[in-house]
Amino acid sequence: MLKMLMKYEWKYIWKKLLLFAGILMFATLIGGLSTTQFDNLASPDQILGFLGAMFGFMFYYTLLIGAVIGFSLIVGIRFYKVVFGDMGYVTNTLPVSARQIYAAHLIVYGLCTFVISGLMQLSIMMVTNTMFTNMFNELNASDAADVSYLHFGPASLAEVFGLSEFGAGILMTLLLIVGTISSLLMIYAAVVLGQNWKRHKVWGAVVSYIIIYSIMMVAAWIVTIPYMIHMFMNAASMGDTAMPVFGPSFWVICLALSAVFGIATFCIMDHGMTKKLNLE
Amino acid sequence: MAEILSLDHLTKVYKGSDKPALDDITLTIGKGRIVGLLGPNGSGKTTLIKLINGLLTPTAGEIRVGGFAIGPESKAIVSYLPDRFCLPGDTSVKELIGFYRDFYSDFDTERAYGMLESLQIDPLSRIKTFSKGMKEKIQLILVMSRRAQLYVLDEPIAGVDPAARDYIIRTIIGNYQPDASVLLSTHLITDVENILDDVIFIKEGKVILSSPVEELRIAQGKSLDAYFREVFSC
Repeated sequence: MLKMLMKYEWKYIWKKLLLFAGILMFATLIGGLSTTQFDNLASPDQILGFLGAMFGFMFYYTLLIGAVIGFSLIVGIRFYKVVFGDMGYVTNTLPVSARQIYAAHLIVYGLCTFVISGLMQLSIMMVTNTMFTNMFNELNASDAADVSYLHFGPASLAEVFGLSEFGAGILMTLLLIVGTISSLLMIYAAVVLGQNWKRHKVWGAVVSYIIIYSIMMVAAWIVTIPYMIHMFMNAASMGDTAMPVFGPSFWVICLALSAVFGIATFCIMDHGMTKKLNLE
Repeated sequence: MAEILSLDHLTKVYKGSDKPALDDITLTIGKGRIVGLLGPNGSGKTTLIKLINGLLTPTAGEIRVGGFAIGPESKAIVSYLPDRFCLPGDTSVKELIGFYRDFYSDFDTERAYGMLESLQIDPLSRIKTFSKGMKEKIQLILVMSRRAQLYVLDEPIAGVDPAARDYIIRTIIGNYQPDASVLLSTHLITDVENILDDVIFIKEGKVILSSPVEELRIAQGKSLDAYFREVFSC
């Protein structure tokens, strides 16, 4: 039955996933075209071109952020409608368990969010690399070598994580997987918490999400501030061209924090759907 | 008489309310019976039906359907018609039939298409293109196309014209399995009085009467509708 639930969720989302992938590709094209203007940075008579590039770049980031927020909204609204809206009368009377219902959502939308996140990261890498290539193509070989760390790639990632290329790849994949699942669980937990509101359950879900997200951000700041201070002090002592490096323990702590929030929000969602379901 | 449904000291108190919507209800429904769940607005009929279908969590007590606690096993043998239309509007009737067939092993596809044909409904049409009355009929067709052991129908004839009411009652009677039970809530007693085997009167969350209809008629010397009006007179 889990497969069947997944089939219907996939049937609902696959066209939307293609649309969002298309938006990200279009955004990448806009971002890439905009960055080609950055080699004219030093030329005063190219001010209009430069402004156009800046607007194009802003448009690029707006599209990226819009795509991610838009997809998250679709995922949250779908979960609300299918489980707690009128369609909940059909879903919750199917011969399936509540755990199968949320598992189907987590698997299908987790994979979709994973694809969207992956495409977004790829897009940022491509556009940033294009931008730096264009900005520094006038530099001599020595200067270009000094800023080569600005180019994203396996080597620069390994440097950021303070690990080998293989270790950095594993850690980044883990961060992406755990982060994706945690972000979905935060949305689902917020929808479940919203049901505790007597009226305006949608607003309840929105407010719950803001509260959960704020708690997570505060916790993240508290945990990571010592690492940030340490990193900036290190970077300052090493000169202008030093690559800011957090070190592997920082990323492991980020992973752990994301996992802790994932587990906490999972417990909220599981409890709300298995023990406290009330379609009033 | 074998039981299909048993409620044991079932209580439901909604959050923020100090008064129970259902108060310590204990009753059973036998197999092969058509039972009317009757009571005024706010008496707890829909709450009881939602609890049987696992849409609400009881505050106390236990529900068993066919011997199963509420869960996937009980839901597999209950066919539920909600008091509202809840099918997605952007799907076609054919897709909905496929959906029901995928999830319910007791779904009779031929029966569903037969009923659709009798109403001249094009299976390829999208749900949102139908009128409110037709949508409710489609929902009923999907529910009654299952060979379920218990049909739970919440206000199936409320808010429809007399002709549609007749169609709905004919559909219920003509399609439920003879060994299955039907639990049907309604205000419109005269329309269903002749089809009911048993009746449950519910008032302010308590069951005040549970009896075979025939026995009640003989004991009271009046129709079920007349007795209902007497019991629930304002």
